[in-house]
Amino acid sequence: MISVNHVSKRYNKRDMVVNDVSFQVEKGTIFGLLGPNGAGKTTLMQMISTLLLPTSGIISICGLDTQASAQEIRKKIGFLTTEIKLDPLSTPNQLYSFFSELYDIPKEEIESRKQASFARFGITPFADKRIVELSTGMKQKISIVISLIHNPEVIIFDEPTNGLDILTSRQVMDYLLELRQKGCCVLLSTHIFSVAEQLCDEIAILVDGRIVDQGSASALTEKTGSKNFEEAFFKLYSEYHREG
Amino acid sequence: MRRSLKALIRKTFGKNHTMKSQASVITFLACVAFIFVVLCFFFSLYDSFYHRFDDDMDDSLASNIVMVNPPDSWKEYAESKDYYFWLGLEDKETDALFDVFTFSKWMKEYDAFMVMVFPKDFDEKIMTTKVEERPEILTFVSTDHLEYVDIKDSFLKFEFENYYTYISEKLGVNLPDRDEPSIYINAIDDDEVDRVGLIRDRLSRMVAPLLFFVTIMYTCMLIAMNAIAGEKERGTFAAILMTPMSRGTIVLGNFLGVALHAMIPSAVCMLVFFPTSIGGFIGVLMLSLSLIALMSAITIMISCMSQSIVSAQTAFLPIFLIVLVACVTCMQPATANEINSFIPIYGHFFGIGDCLMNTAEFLPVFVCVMSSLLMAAICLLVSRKLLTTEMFTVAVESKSDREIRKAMERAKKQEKDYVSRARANVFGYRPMKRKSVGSFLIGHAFLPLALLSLFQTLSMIPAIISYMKTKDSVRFLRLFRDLAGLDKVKDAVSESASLFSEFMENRWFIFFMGLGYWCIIGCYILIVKLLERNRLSAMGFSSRKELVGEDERVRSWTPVPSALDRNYRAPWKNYLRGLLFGFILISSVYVVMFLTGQVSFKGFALTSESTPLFFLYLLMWIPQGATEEIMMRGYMLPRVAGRFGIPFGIFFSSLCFSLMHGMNAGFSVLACINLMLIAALFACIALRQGHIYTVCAMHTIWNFCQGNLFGLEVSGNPQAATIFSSDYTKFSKDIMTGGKFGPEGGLCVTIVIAVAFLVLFLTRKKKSPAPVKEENSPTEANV
Repeated sequence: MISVNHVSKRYNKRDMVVNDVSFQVEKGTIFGLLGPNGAGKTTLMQMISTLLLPTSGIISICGLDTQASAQEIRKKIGFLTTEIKLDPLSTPNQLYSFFSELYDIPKEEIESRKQASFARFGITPFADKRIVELSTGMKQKISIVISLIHNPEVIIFDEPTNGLDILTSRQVMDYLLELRQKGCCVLLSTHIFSVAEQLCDEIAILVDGRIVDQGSASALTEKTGSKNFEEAFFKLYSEYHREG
Repeated sequence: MRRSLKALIRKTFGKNHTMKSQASVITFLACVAFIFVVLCFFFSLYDSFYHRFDDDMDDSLASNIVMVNPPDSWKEYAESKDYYFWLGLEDKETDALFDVFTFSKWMKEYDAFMVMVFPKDFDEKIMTTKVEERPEILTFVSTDHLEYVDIKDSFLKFEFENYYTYISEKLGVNLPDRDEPSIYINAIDDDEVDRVGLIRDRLSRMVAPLLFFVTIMYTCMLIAMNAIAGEKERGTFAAILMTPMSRGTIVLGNFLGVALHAMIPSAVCMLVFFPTSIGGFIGVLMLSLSLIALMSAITIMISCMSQSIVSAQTAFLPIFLIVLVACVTCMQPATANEINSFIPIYGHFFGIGDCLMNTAEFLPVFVCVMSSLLMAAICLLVSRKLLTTEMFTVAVESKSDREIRKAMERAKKQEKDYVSRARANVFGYRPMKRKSVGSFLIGHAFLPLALLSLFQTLSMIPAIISYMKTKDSVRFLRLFRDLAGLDKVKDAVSESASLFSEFMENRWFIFFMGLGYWCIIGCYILIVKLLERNRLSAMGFSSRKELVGEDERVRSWTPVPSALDRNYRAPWKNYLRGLLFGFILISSVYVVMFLTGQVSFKGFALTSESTPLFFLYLLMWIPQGATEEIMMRGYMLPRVAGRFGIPFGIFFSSLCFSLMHGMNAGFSVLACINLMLIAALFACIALRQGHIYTVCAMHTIWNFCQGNLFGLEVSGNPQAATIFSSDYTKFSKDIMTGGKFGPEGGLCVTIVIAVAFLVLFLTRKKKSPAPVKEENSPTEANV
């Protein structure tokens, strides 16, 4: 569903933020991008979600090219990143109706869908409070609900459990697994090992804008001969730096 | 699309983050109150002002003029014109010129509105050709009615103009040209002035358009900046970008929202200044709508370009001010011409006024409306284009990511740039990325030359200009014009040299030369600070911490000679020591020359004339010495030594120093060697001390004493202002004294410098007990 082919991105002439990255994400799988800060994860995800244009290479989602048919693709993807925030003075109710109008969701469906997803994350009691009054976890949950307002097939989540407590991140992770069951294709970026290990069917390790290695968590652990996945990551990371 | 448009428009009517601040609400309310109060006063005061004497005075305006001491020429003129409205009062004393009470009495008595006082001998005085002696006529106008000012103006402009032409023709005197009166209101005969109409005219043509402009622009700014730039600032814009709306829809939705907002105050303005005809109403409506469209589009475009509300508002502020200034110029009658009313903004201002007064023409209003709509459309298209570029949509990278990446790049660059092992470490300078040997050495040799020639040429300009004003310059330039053959060239060169020595007596030249040296020092500081990103210690200006090795950052890579720990002195103390050392050095040269009978002491030579020049010299030598030391010892030495080792560093910098003086008069091989020896001596002292404060002082005092104390020549440059005067004796030999070049060209200096080297060598062990550290201690290696 998502196919990234030799994609590079540079912001100015010198610094290459994403450097010749290629991978595929199939339907009904969760793909994880794991890497340190500044590795280019967010930039890569912004390119996939049509906010940025790649300097070279082709990204296609559901067979559509991100450069040619960005507007079509935006109907199909749900994008969540820490960079995207919610209007602090609005209430979840207002935001939901605002975005459902922007996404052109049929009027009669809005209310029932809102009730369902608010109930799913326990937002209903806070539905009429202003965002600024809510906790970080609640904000993140509302962001997730808003980003999935149009039931997208492709879900791109940039560090969805960042800054959340264990309970809330558990909730988010369960929801992601649920989405996988429904047949969605989930692209996830994180720098938390447990999240990557538990959720992802396949993990790509991104260092300095390059994919160092790729595979399932267990395969990567085995390949490097480490005790656990965390150790495997460090081995791959230091190996890359020794070469670089 | 329609649903999303509506949603976007509704959003602009939602909570406004800029309006949330209490300050903006308070200032806004205060402004509204202020405008209201001003308007109220305007109406009531203006009206009552006009009618304040209505009750007890005749409604008709006075139309007479009282003329005090009317000249005969005026009487003749008035007679020929059959004027009846003036009243002559003869033989009034001039001390009654400002007697306002008497004037008022007369005006009441003769039903006049103005008093004109002529000087008694007006007709005779008008003959004088000198402008400043022209007679002045005093006019005093009644303040009972505002119209009197207008009447006075038109009287002076029209009637008096004719009178002036009359007397200038009659007397044959050329009176200064006067402009033809542009407006002539025959107010004298016109008793009926439409006062209400006058108020309405002023209000509609000045106040109303201004209010339209201010309220529309302010509202547009408030809403548009909050709409897109504000969303970007709050980070909520990316969510809107991610929806399947087209960028055009986003722009259009926000534009419509802003425009709807701006319609509210303009509707209020329309209600206050309601147009009296249908045509006027439509005109004002079209003009205000097009103005709203234009302003909304401009603010939306700026909002698209900015990442925060503040930057957007800052960007719009100049436009706001320019438009306001344009509005104010529109209030001047001179701006009101036919072409201006076709230009948007100007045209809007005039158009709104004209429409309110029902004097508007269709074409200018139409052109204005259409052209501003076109401009608005262009702005919207640009905004749409802006939203498709990455720069103006998402904050491209998260801040922390960017910082991390930048830091990594910096680290990589530093690894590449710095050579890990330098040949020598002088003043803690750490070598930069290597260049090829040729460009490295040539660069170092030419940098001081280039800077010196640039600033010395610049400082010569005032002296050259003052020279060009003298007669000598003609002779000098002729010399160059007639250049033919070798003899003439020789003449020209020697003439130029003598000209230069003349310049040395020019105060401005000395002053600017000193200034130029300061500039060169500034250049070097900039080079070290900005280009190399080094500390000033890398050019020999070491701080205390660096010298005693307390500075951690420096200590990590600078091997500080341990001797310095004990011998630390403050920079100014070092400078004073340098002055002393330098004085001893140059005095010994003089003494040697004196003892060997090369020079004779001629006595005190400072005159009151040359004293200012002497002090200028004193001031000039300070930066001069410092500049040459910074160039050679402070900057060049550590860099060359870092790459090729200290011996070569000293050799190269000394060679450059010596050759730099090669252009001076009387340069010889011995002079070259001597200068190199002096340079090497200074270099060794600087190396031993780890800074250049001392050698700067030594250089300064050397030149000063040589030129301005003992009256010798400084490296070929003769001196003009000196305390003592000396002369070479008839036994003197050039090889000893250096002849024209000064003592540096002679053996005497060689002797003294050799002794100085010896002293330096002998004091070595006492002062710096060879510090044991790997590959360090420049002091040990050389001295």
